[in-house]
Amino acid sequence: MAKYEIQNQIRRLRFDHHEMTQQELANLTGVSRQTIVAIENGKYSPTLELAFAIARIFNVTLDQVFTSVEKEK
Amino acid sequence: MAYKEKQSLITILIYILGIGSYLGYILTRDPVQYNDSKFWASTMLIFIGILIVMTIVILVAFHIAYEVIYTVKNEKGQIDDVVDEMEKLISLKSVRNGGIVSSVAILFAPVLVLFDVSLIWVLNVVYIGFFVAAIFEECSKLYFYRRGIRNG
Repeated sequence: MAKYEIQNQIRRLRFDHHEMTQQELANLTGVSRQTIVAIENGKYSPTLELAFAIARIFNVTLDQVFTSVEKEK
Repeated sequence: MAYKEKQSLITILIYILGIGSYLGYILTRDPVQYNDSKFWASTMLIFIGILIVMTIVILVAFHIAYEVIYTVKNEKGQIDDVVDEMEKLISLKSVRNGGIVSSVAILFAPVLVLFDVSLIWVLNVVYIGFFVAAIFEECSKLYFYRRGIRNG
């Protein structure tokens, strides 16, 4: 079975939104900056609630923030 | 290093200090006292009490010091002490890892009885096992903070 990893566009979206800082995004979503850093670096996959909250802040759909990509072998 | 990583590191140091001082105390006692079960009960309870109080005091002092330094440096934002979903997941997995270590210590105890080790030392193995489990739990937290954590 193919393995998938979740990639995200948070860094680009932050940049597009007046260079929003990780701390600002963390405050808006109610999580710690450490969690935002982990998500951005692909070290943590957020719950659906948090994923939707992030998408809502950037005013985009979920698949514009997170994509599931097949892992390279 | 983030606030929570430093907090875990300090907790590990407190526990190591706790084990060290406990071992230092019991190994320098008169061996005659070793047969007195009340000596062991009181020593263990007193050390647990001291450790709990010490942990609370040091972590509160650390938080205050961190906040002061943060304000003096005039850094933007706030201290990252939010307990969010990732923090909860890390705590859950770390507690599980700590639980595995304490289970091993508890299972190891009857093995020592088979080898005719005194029950007092078996009790000590279990007691120290809990300390080691607590240290392992904090080390797990540090590991997950550094390496990330996956759901499932």
